[in-house]
Amino acid sequence: MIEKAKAVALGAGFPLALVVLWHGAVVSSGTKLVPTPYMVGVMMWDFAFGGVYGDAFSGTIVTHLLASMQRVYGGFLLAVAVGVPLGLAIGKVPLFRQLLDPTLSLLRPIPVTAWLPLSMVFFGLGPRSAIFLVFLGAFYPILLNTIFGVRSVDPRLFEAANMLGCDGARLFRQVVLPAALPSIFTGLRLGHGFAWILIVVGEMTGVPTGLGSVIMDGRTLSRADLVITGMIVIGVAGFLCDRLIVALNNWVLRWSPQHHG
Amino acid sequence: MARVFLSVKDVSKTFQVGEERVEALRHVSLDVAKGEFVCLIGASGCGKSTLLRIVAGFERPSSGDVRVYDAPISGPGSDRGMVFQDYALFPWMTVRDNIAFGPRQKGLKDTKDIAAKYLEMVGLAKFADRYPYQLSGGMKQRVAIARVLANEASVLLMDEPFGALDALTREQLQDELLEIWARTQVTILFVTHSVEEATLLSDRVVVMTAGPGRIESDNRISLGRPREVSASDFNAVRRNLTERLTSHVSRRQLKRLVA
Repeated sequence: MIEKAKAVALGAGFPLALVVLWHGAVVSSGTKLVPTPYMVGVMMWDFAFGGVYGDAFSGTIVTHLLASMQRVYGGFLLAVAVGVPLGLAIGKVPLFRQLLDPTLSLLRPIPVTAWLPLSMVFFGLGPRSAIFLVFLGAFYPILLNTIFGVRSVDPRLFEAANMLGCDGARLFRQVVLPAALPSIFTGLRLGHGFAWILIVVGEMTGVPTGLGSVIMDGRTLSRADLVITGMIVIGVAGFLCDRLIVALNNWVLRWSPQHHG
Repeated sequence: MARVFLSVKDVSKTFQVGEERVEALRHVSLDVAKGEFVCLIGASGCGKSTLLRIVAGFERPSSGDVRVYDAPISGPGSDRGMVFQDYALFPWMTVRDNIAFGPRQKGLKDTKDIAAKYLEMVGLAKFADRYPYQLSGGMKQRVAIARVLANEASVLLMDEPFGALDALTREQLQDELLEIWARTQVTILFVTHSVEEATLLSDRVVVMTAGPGRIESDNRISLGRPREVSASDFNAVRRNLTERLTSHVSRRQLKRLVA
């Protein structure tokens, strides 16, 4: 109990101390470029509920958050839908590995931001570009961790399944997939983190809504309070969604406490 | 002698390890009758585990073949169930689901009764809903045995199944295995490097030697059951077997075997 209270106090106390430091630094330097935490708080209130500034951003948090989440989860779920089956196949079937591994290794080091111009050519100015970039960012960690998961399954489990009459396609669903789940979840968590990181890049492609576009607007308008507000919303949303994935992880992997997050 | 059930005919096996060719088995032949309990014993590298894996269908012999009722085996099959030293249970399944895995593969929808029967047989009814990580080594091995029995395997292939267990659990599982064997009349091919274990359990002890692996002698154990490890006739058989083993084994390996 005391241990837990201590952990909470330390975990919450540190960011609080940073906020105090931030306030002190802005006030003592007299800068006009960086807002105080209080000013960001007011902006956050207005962004969420409106009634303070009465501008284009007042009370629009839900619109932007939903727009961003659609792109984050559109790209992320696409990455899961492609990355996991492909990873299982590459991990287990030598033919797929020989066919695809070199190409994927060649494409992987290319930064997602480098795809931005091409994605605008392919998908135009709009949400589909953002989804594509999020997909690219989330895809590789999911794919690579799935491959790793399949390759590190104890071969005895395959032998055990074979002798019990399980092979072929059934082996994939009943043994390969569940045995690789701990690694797959590591990939999902990493990919999910990248998806949120990439939403700002994705929404630089000229979409009118979304937290990334709010940040880009704040930059254009020289409104640092708006930029910081957008950053905080992304941070909190990403954190809460990560907790959901961890909860899902712990439930799905209830048979393996060592893999609990 | 009963009709030949499992027949290993002139099996040789060589592995390619890097540049080197290792001859794991050379011209091994062995007949096992239905319901027989046969132990394979020998020092490390004598090919006893390789022979077991060939019978299981996990490895193909370089020459020769293995037949069950005169039908050559071509791969792993549910008639031959392996019990591994490190259990190889499916960690994401409960004890009940592990046991029901084989029957489910055959398309059986209702596996509850089968699972219940074998859970009862290995004394794990109370642990049906646990996951493997929540079990002791002895319990895991009971699940592994129940899993192949539930699959209606007619041969149990056991690769040093009790090697990783403490002495007390080991004795207990040996007793339980004999009980299960008497009850189900399953055929057992059992690899061990403990002379005492072989003497206690089997109808026949097949002594193997290394370099290349082959059968040195095939010894029928005519002791009555149940056997008592401290009895003088038991000790005589054990001593005799130990001598057969050691005639081909260096003194250092001997110490390990006796220990």
